Amino acid sequence: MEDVERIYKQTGYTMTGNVIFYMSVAGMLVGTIGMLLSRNIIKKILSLGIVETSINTLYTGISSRRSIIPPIVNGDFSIAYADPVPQAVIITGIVISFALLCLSLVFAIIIYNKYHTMDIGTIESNFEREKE
Amino acid sequence: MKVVKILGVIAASMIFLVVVLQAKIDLVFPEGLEVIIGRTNIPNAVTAVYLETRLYDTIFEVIVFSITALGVTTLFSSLSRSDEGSQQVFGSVTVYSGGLAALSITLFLYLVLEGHISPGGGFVGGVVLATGIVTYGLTSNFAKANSHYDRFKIKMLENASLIIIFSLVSFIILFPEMHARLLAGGKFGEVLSGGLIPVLNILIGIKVYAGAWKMSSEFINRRGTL
Repeated sequence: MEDVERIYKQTGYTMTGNVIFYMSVAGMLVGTIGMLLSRNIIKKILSLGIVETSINTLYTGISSRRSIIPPIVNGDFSIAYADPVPQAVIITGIVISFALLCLSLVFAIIIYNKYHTMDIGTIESNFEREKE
Repeated sequence: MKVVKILGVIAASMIFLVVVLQAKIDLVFPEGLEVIIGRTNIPNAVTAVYLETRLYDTIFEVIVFSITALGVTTLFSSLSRSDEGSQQVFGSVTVYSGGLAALSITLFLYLVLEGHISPGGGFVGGVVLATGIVTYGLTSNFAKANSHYDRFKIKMLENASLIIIFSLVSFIILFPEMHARLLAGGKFGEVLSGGLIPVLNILIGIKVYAGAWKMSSEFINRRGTL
């Protein structure tokens, strides 16, 4: 923990990193509220996309908190590079979020073919009627 | 009732904000970068992390992506195909989209082959190629774009690359000393350095491209072009 404190005092956070960090937290909130409040399945999936993109941006912001120089090292370690670990974690997450959106859209298409609506209230009442 | 719901959402978001902003998210480590680069002997630290020090993450990500592609294909097989041949495009768009497809193939080769010494890598390259070919199919001729899947035997290529990725990753995990010797043998910053990392980049690029193209083309097959 002392190491982290020392680095924080010596270098401070970059403005880009902080702005990206707080903006992405706001984007996550917007997406979550959209997922909770909208009644349309497609809008819910789009809100999920907003949350995923915001999380990707959040990780990028964390990695650029110390510096915004990309971590392509040419042998000189005295330059302050951006942190490579969050970027490497999120490079796989981008592909996963694309695949997840595809899969949820397929389910949306199947639900639409069965109930001919995208409104979750109508779908639930239809489903209850089917069960009885 | 609606007021209660909105108040609940506001309260939940306040709790969320407090939790997120109180967390001490701080991952800066200048000494770690030197350790990673010294161990892998390649300039791109991001590739060094996700193909050497955090290889488990990558292999399970590849598994999740394969399962999702399989799920999309299987779920779509129960739906009926849309009628083809109603695609209307302008002549000049065809010329430009062909050029863009050629550009995306070149960019794919550059990103995949030089992923360990410059920005890029397998995941990025695969998504670039799939996006280029899907754009070509949507704007110019989807039947022509779809025919390359059978002509170049992309399905076989995808499965073969998945098996080779598994075997190479098992080799790296089981014999880390041998891979470290391979990594140390290359010259820092050259294309033919980095041991098995460029090979893994190429195979992951092919895998991601094939999965992304298959998923997108299934959507277009079932729903029709725009």
